[in-house]
Amino acid sequence: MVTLYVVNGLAYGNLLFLMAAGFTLIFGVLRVINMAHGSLYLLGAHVAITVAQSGFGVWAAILAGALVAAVVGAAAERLLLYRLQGDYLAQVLVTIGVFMIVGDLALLIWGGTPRILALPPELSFSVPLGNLRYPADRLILLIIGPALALALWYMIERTRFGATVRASVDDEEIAQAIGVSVPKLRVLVFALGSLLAGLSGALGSTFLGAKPGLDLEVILLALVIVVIGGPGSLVGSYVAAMLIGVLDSVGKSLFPEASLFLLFAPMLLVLILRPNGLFGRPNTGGTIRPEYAPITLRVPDAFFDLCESLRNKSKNVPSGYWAALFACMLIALPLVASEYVLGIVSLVLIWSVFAIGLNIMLGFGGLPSLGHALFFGAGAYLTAWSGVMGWPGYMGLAMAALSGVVAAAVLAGVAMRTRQAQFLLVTLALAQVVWGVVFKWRSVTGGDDGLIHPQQFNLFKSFGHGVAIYANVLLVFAVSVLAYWIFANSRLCRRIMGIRDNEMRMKTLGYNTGATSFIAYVASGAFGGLAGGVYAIYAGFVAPDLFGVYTSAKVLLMVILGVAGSFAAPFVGAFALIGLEEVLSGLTARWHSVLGCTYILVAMFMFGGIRFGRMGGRIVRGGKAR
Amino acid sequence: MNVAALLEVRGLTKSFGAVEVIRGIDVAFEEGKRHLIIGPNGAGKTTFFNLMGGQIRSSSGRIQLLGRDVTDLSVSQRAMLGLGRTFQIASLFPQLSVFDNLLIAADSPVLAQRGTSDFTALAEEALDLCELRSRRYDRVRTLSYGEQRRLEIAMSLVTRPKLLLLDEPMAGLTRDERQALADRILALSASTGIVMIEHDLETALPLAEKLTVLHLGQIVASGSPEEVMQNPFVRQIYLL
Repeated sequence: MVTLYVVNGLAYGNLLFLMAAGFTLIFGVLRVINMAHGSLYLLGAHVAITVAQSGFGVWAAILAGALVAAVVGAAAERLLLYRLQGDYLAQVLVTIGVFMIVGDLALLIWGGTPRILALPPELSFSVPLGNLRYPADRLILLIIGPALALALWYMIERTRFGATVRASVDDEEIAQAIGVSVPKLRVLVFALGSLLAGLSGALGSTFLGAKPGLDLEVILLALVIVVIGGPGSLVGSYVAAMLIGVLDSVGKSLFPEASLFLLFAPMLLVLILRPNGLFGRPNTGGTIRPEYAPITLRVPDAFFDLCESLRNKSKNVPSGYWAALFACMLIALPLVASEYVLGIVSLVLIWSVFAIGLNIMLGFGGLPSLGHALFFGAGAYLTAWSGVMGWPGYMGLAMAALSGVVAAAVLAGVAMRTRQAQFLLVTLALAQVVWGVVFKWRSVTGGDDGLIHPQQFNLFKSFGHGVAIYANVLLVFAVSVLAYWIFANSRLCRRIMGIRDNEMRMKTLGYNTGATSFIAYVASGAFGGLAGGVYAIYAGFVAPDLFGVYTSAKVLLMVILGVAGSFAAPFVGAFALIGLEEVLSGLTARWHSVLGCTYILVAMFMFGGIRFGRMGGRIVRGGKAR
Repeated sequence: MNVAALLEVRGLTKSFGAVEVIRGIDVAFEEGKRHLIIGPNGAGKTTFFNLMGGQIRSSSGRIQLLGRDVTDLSVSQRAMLGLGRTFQIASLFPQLSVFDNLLIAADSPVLAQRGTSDFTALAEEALDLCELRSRRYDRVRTLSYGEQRRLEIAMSLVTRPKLLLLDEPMAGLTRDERQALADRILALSASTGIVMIEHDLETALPLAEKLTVLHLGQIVASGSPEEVMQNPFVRQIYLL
């Protein structure tokens, strides 16, 4: 029996390798965390199934799946990512946007029921394996996997193209200086990586099929493999994929509930012992000066000037008058607004508190965490459990903030030694794996059904249900904003900003920068955990998605939309994005696609991929006038 | 011991891969003297400073700061012992205001350990010193290069270092600015030991009380400026 699990695991591992190889190639060479990699896998699977069902044969189906993914990937690179070179954060946001759009369109085209590629009779035979029989479609993976791994290895290690790719992994700047055409290389690498995603999707479609949500699972596995194997290392990916394949197969059969711990534990171990992975090396290359032409939109001069003045003013702390005005509006709101509106505003306030936490890390500390959902989810589940245990609501919230602090300390422990794109990868991977554990650990977390809990706010109970919740949320919000204001004006915050701007100068002035950064993480975690706790009571319900990448992406987009690092960023961003979501979800069933476009547009605008220019055609901020 | 050495280096080497950039340096910088280090491009001057400051670790050899072995100490630990430095390209906090930059310096644990508490007053003082009062609230990245230089030096002085390493402080400055800086350094040396790397010999040489010439990772001459500039090998390197 164990032999079967191991063979199963090796077959699965080979599939995982094909999928992760594309991801690691793109990350290693381009430093892009391609969240759309899961979408390309799903796309490959769907296209293959459709082509096979139209009677073109299995091989044509697999080829078609791979090619469609390659074309979509190359297009995303050429049209969008290319214009955001070097802005790791912006690139991730764009790929999250693509991820949302592809997922939504796949649901529209192919529906929500799982599809599978039915093999023709001549291929659906099995071969004897000891006293068992093993299906041929998986056995094929044991041949195709190693063959493609060898082919990839040969291409990277032994050909001229491979040499330029390796040169770019090693030092992008020097590669460019010796005449490697980076734009061309980028498209090629992206197409190749996407091809592998599509191919693995198509190959896996005979037994894993295609269904909504598969894209997210794929990304989780790719992250784990790349973190363990080391970004950019094919050998590392192969070893890690085999390890994960076998662990997953054996674990699922022998210890179904603990199976995701079997992914989590090795990843955490590797992160602690070797932050760059088993076979990875730290990226030592200089930061490249991007050479792209931003898309320049001609707008009337008056509009351009308005945008410029907004941009310049956004960094100032708003005056007391504005704060007082907003406070009065929020307090008076229950007198005029319906319970529905109060609910939406409560949501804005909760997300503001969460965004405050991220603004401390990203805006003040310059640490672009993609794993912020970790704090939010931890706070939410802790509060839910506190309710189950019968503790009072505010005690639950205190626990929530504390759990955020603990989660932040763990995150700091594994992420503090990494920088830039690697930092994004590690924070994302950690949160995603916790999401996976919560998703599968049914007996404790309720699994994907979530957990309905009795926790309530124990103040303002006489106000009536809707108003009482709003009043409590407002109270927590007010306390949080006060704490945030004190923090933003403190010596500590100034030091955190100093580290963001110039860590070496801080050290030269005698500061222990590690300890100060750690405080930024922890403060951020406290706000995140608190927000999660309030959300849990507000919703009356917690679900694994609170830990998911959508949650991290949403708060990230808020802070960026509100101009990260400005005092008002959390409020502006939360108001804008929650408002947008409410409006969109009422207007169209395809609001996920529209939201995906929003991610792409915000990333492009805020990081300079798209710029405004005056109608007059003068040269504006580096953008060439036509 | 006749003159106390602020900084003493024994058998210092540093290799980057197969390239040996610092090849066995022995030198001592005494208290109360203005030291000037010169040398052609690639001589290893900035690497030498980075080894002193702790930005990079030596391959072998020992470094003593104020009588303490600091070879294995971190950048911030060396700063706590009284070492300050400026960088070849002004190293500041570009997104923060001029005054915030000085506040961060004045709030440094280097001063806290000596019991200095009124850091705002210290920052105010430094603001006058670098003559940037009118730009107090401006972001540092909007300052001119000369202003950034002045700010960086003021920032390094706020912590009252016992030894200050200046890496090409004159580079990129106008003639007037260079002269003003030279005057400042002269005034400074009464209380602080100074080691300076500089290419602009015209302004820097009159400041120097002791001159050290670095060439291909080794010290080729060291002594009083007059003496060293007569050295035939130094004249050959500098095509005098």
